[in-house]
Amino acid sequence: MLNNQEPVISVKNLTQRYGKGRIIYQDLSFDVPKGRILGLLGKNGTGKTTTINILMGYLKPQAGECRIFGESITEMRPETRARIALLIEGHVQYAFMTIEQIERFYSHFYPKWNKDAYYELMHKLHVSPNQHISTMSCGQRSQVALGLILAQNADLLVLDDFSLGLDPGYRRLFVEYLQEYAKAEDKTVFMTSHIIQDLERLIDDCIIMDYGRILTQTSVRDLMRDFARYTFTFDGDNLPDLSENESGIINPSLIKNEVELYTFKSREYVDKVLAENGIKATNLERRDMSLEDAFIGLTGKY
Amino acid sequence: MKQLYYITLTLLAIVLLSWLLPWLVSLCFPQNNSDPFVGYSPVNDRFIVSIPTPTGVNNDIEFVIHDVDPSTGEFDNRYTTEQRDSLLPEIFANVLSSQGNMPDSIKGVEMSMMNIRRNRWMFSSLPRNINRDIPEIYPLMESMPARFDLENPKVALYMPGHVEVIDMESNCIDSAKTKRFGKMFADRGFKFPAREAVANVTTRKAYDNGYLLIDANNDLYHLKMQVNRPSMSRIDRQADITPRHVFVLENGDRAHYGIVTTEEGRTFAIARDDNYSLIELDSIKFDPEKQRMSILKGLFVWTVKVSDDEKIVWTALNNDDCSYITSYTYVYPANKLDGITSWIFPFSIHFTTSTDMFVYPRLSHYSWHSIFINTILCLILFILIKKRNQKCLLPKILVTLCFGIFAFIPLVLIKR
Amino acid sequence: MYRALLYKEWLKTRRVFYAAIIISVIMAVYAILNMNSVIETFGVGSLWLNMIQKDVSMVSILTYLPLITGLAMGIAQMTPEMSHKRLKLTLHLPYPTNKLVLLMLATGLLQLLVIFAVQLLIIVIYDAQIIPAHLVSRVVLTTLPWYVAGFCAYMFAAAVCLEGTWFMRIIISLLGCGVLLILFKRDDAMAAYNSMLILFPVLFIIPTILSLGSIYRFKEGLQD
Repeated sequence: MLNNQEPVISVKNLTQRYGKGRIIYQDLSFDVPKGRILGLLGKNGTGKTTTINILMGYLKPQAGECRIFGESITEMRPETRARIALLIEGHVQYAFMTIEQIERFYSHFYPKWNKDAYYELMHKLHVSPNQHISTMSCGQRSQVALGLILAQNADLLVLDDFSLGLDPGYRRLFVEYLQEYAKAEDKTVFMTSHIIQDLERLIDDCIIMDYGRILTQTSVRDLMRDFARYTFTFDGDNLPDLSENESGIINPSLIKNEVELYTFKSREYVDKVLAENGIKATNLERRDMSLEDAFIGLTGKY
Repeated sequence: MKQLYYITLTLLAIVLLSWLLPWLVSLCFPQNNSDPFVGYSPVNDRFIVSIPTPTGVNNDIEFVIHDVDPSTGEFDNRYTTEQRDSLLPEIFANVLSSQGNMPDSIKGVEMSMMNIRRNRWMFSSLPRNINRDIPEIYPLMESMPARFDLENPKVALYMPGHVEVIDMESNCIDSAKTKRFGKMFADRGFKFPAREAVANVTTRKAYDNGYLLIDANNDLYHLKMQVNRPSMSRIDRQADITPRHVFVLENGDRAHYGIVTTEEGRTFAIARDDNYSLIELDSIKFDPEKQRMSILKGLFVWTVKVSDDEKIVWTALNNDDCSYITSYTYVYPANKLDGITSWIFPFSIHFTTSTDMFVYPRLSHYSWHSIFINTILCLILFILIKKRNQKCLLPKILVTLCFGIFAFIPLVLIKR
Repeated sequence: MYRALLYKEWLKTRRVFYAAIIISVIMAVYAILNMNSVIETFGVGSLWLNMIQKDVSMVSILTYLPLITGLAMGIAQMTPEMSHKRLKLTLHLPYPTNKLVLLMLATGLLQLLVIFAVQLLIIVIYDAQIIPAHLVSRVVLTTLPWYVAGFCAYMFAAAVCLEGTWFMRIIISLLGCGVLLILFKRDDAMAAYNSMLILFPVLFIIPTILSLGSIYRFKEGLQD
């Protein structure tokens, strides 16, 4: 039985490769404590969906252990599965069912089923209860999927790329509903998205992944506090490689005369590194940053 | 479950491959085994054998014709096609007549077309006609129809443990007839259940001989329906004869009721006399469940052909008493493909055969020759398993050693 | 919960079920009309003789119908699960995996059983009017492999659909074709499969194991 201190999701030394080839990640470990919303961020192909597949038991990891609610995911009891709501990439649902049928179907499986939560959201869609999901737009389907998740009233929500295919209105609707629900009900959420700006107001913690490694694993608040973007004017032609030798300078770039760099280090440290490299920085300034900026800063533009 | 899944897949693949692979090979390399044409010549009292032989030009075939020396059983004189026609005047009567070469008589027997036709009949038996699910409903014809022409049966017998007569039109039991037939069966001492009941139920014959039956005591009976009434006779048999199968003859010469074969492999003709005399077909060894038989009865002899997958034996029997005259045995040449496949395939499974109409798996003998190739396949598999770092090395090797290529293919293809 | 699962399977297959039952009835009636026409033209005796001597079941028009029905049922039921990896949704349901798969298969088999039973019943009721029970049972025994082929085709289609990799789908399809080939090996004789009746349960067990195995492979991530 899970006690209050134990994380809802616990991943230890997870290693996964594409077949026998490229490493997706090695020794990935993280915990998701109860009541937290964790975003798994990364560019396409960095292993976000793979991680969700492993967590949901659709992929056997090559090494490592995953536990949800204290149970190994390979031997998860149906009762434990009932406590997890899952949103599959692309808001996939049983397209052959109607809005009414799918609600009736799922209601039999989940003891805490909240029919009203589902229909409240459905009323906003202006669709008939007899409309088949297959005839709906991607945005409408996303709301059906969200409505089912809300109705399930699960303790853990696992959402794989909820923003895929959604226009800004639906994305905003989804985020707002989810945020209000998760915070009010003290739900734990594990989610991925490739549209970072949606997550900024939603997630508490983030794991930012690059190809084959984890770049950072921290709370959003700490990330926004500790991770900084600096810009300055540079007069020379060739900017020395400031990111060499574990200098702590991340992704420095020169566009025309403007240099942009990212770092977890202090302003003094940046001054020192620039001086050591003989760079005369004019107008060196720390700039305001969104989560998306921080993500780009960490992962690079390409 | 995973283990069970892979074991099931592999076993199913082994079964299907051991059926389909040998079949595909035989399909790709068909064996052309044409039977020789053989006839008994009343002219020189020898068998005349025409063996189809490829000329090597345009797939043409020519017949190499010999007669057989009765004392040695070997080929003796060689003949041309024209000479053969003259030696077999009954068979080639049309050719000889059209050429005006038909003799008036041979051995004092008139050789007219009419006489030949009147005294000639054929009988044939195939194992697949016996080895099939035979329904226990026996349509019974009226042997003495009011208007002489035979009519389709209107009643049928059903003999589960007693006899019932079913009216075909209404699909109901005809009580009156059932009573009459039941009494007749009881009076004649028929012991149910019937082991066999055979008739030629067709209107395309000159007359009807009804049914020949073998009862549970292995006694032979002859049953007919005449003017809607049963007529049944018990056929006396010697104690050392155990009838196995019966065949009804309804030939133009009206000389026989039928043929009966015995458990011991003997064959008898049932003469159409008052005593139902059993005339043994001398020297004929015939198992209708495994062998094919054809009888060509002519003016001079019965030519009995008994064949199976290995050989054909033609025997000439005297027309009068079915006594032995001479015989010729043709052994099929060894199938080269069988030799090769016995090295490649350890065994094979057949679901059907040409000798029956049933479908069920039949396993051939295990070919120990295949162990050589099996061992090579084991070595290849060993290397592959090591290279792929797969599990269950020993079971896979053992299975391949036993089942050879049938196991090798799935074990290589199906990776975990 | 199982009722909800049955409901889901029914939603996927009901169109095929209704279509199959209508077509099956039409074909059965067609076979009956054929027999009627033989009786009208040549008399009922001719029909008896056809059945007894020539091994003509008079319902050979139905030979491949169960096979097609089984395939259609399997595809209609399992394809929606595999498109967009929707099987993940099903496997995420709080229900034991083995029970879930067996329940899915049982739903399809049950529907096929109803379709085949209705068709066979029509034939049997008609046949019982015109031929003795012994011959009726022979007709049933003759059609039995066709219906087993229907069930088998359904189960192999399910196993193929539930399999996650194309390579194994091809392998299972080939094995399925091989098994089905056996069931149509002798269509020129009546009651030819009597000696094989004892093996028919195996033809149900094998694809069930393959379906369950495919699910386990899916859960291990063996998907294209």
